Amino acid sequence: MTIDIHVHPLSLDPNSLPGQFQIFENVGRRLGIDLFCLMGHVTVGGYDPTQRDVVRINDFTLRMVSERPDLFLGFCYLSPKHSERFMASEYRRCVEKGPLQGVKLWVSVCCTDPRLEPLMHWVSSSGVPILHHAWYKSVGHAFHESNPAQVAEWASRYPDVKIIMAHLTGAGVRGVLDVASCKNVFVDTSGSQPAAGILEYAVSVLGSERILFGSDAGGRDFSVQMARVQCARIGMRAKRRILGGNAAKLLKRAPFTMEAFR
Amino acid sequence: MNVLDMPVIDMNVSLGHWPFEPMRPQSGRQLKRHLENQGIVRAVVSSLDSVLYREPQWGNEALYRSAARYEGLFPCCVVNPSLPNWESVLMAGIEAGCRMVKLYPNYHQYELSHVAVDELVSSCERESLLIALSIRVEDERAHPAIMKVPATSIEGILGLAERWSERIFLVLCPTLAEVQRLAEKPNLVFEISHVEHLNSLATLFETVPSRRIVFGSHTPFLYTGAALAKLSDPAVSDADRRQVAFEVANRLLQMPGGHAML
Repeated sequence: MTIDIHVHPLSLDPNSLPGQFQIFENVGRRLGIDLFCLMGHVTVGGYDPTQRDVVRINDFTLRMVSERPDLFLGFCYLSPKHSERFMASEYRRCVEKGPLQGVKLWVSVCCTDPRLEPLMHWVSSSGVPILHHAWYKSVGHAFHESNPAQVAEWASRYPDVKIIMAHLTGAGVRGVLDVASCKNVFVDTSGSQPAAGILEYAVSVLGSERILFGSDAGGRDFSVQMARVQCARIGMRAKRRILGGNAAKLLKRAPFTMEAFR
Repeated sequence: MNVLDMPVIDMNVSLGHWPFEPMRPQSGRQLKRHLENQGIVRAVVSSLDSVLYREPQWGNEALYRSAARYEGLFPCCVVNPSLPNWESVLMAGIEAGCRMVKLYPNYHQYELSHVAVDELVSSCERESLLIALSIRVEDERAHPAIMKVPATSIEGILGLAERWSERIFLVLCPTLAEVQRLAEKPNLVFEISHVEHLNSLATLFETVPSRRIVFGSHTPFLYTGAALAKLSDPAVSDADRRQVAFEVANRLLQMPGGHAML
């Protein structure tokens, strides 16, 4: 089973849904991707989304997952800048009572911000992972963008919460080393161009068990992002883990057998 | 042959060292084997060392002794027209069989409006040499703090294309957004290594026709196979795919015989 842990809807226009389903179906068939994990169309709300943006983004993810559970998983998008009450209601709606499998956080606040605390207790209780954007940028960070050292600091405070640090290429060598000792941190393969060598390095430092295939499409090309795993000089077993085995273990609530799809 | 079942000419390959990480392949022989394994029959190869050496010719000479010995690897000389010896570097490149000249205005720190650039273009015109303009070597966001190098100026490329409107220039490593800015100049041809979007090639064709696009992998910085994956886009016709894979490159390099030579 191959799982793309990091994709985004291509639009929030309900009329685009049949077309989007077709695109994901075709990509899945062509590249052998069985499930796409939706992180929400987060750019719609910008770096600092309103509560209304968050609800709209999650509504669409819920709709895609509900209509095509054979094709999609989804994470609940939240901004810790919003009130604890609002976050709790959205988390309950999407994850506790809904079908979403985890939480996606982007750049509205840094991951070390104390406003994440209640959320960390909820995900800890539910046993679902958080996917958090992170990047080392030499050109300056976007809004309250987190870097891998901050992810490591945050993750060490919550060792029982599984954290997926997005963007291996953005993390780079330093970022891989930052999170190496945090066994609860996983890294997805997305980010920037398909730079040669960084995946091999991450496997040598973290082990293939802590790396997940993520394309970050639609802003990226599925086939290019898949190729960065397929082209890496790592063993077939490691590739299988990265392409889906690790995600299947991490997302325990997903229907991970083909029988479940029929 | 590759998975595409057609010949592929790679117009953007480098060989040599980079101060921040080991580069593979490291020899002409290894590069030849690597490209053959990917199904790439011909490649235009330049010296990576020449990007940072104080005298680019040191790197060019090493390249002529290594890669140029292997059938299918075409040497390309790196010239810094802001140095007083650029003419002798160019002549040495012609003697070594170079069909293409590569410029790194950002790393060599000159403007494309520099008077020597026009003199170089004039010389290349006389010698029927293709000029390639490198926009970047690595994603600027990932540059080490000790060596931040902004991308080559898009306005500078537009100005050069305007002054030499009858002369073709190959632009290396542009992003899709940069191609969109440069596309207005019909004498600019683009390489695909940094163009990435959902259905990269099909999206690129919305801006420029296939007769202005060539295949380039930016090996060894990016996975060679990732660029090949772009060619497999099912939304692209076989005729367009052939143009990008080898036909345009053949024309640019003035290889008589075209496909038959491959």
